[in-house]
Amino acid sequence: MEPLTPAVFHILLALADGENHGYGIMREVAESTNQQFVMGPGTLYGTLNRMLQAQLIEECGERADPNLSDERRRYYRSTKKGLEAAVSETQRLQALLRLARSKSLLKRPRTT
Amino acid sequence: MSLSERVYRLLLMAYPSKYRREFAEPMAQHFRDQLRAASAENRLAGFWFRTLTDLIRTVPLRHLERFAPRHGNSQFTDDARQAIFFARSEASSFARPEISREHLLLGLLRSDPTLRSTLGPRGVEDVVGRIESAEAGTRRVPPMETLPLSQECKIAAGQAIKEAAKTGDSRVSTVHLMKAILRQDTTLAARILRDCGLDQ
Repeated sequence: MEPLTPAVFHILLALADGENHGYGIMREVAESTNQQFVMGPGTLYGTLNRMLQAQLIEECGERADPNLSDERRRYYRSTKKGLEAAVSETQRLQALLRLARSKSLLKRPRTT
Repeated sequence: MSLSERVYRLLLMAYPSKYRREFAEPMAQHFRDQLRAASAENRLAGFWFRTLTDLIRTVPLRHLERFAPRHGNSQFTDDARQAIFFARSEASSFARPEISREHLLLGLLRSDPTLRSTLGPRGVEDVVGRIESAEAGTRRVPPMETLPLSQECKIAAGQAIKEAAKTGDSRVSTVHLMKAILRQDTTLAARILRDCGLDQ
């Protein structure tokens, strides 16, 4: 399976705990990356669209979020294929990290 | 509806109509939520800057997804697909019937910040100037039209795909496209890249 883009992987991680709406996904990704990865609506919904087409996620109805306003929001959840993709990506990154550690990259001083 | 949301909804018109029908409402809702949070934290200037850069980056990608060949859509990285999108716009601005390797090089300049910083501002100006001289025509505002790749450009794209496969990369990036341009060493695009100190 080819590597996932960071946006796709972060969204799958955010949905690993259960379904969520777009703004909730964005907030969870932003919090879990310490505000390093904050997706605007263009990036988020473009990525969600591609993931829907690739059947990594699916829509699961609309309802209000009691923690936000009373507007109805479109909810998404991972599919089985999406969960498998997230697991594969995690294993790929684990293998890369093991390789980097074997080269002692994390212990080397930065050159810049 | 606030003035900010009205402005944002107008900006959403830049996206393709099919995409807007599906996602304009959730995007506007997302914008409202982020605007509310940014207002509460008194960070409106930064919020608008991020919103506008998000738009500028993603509008071409959504349009490109309409024009990219169905079978090859996921073969290229986002930057590489953006380079091809910009190459189409460059060819159209010169009123050419197809996309050449030189237009592709201009597209790469627009989509690849690493290439721009490697060349530096003078190098970028030099590349653009030489290609504009070779085109020998005045630019126009490019209409949104579908243009084919020239035969030589198709060969370069094919070589980029082979280059990616050879290095074990699952998708073709801007680096593979540049290497493919350099391989066709008698072309103007390859000569320009070599004159700028870039080679295989």
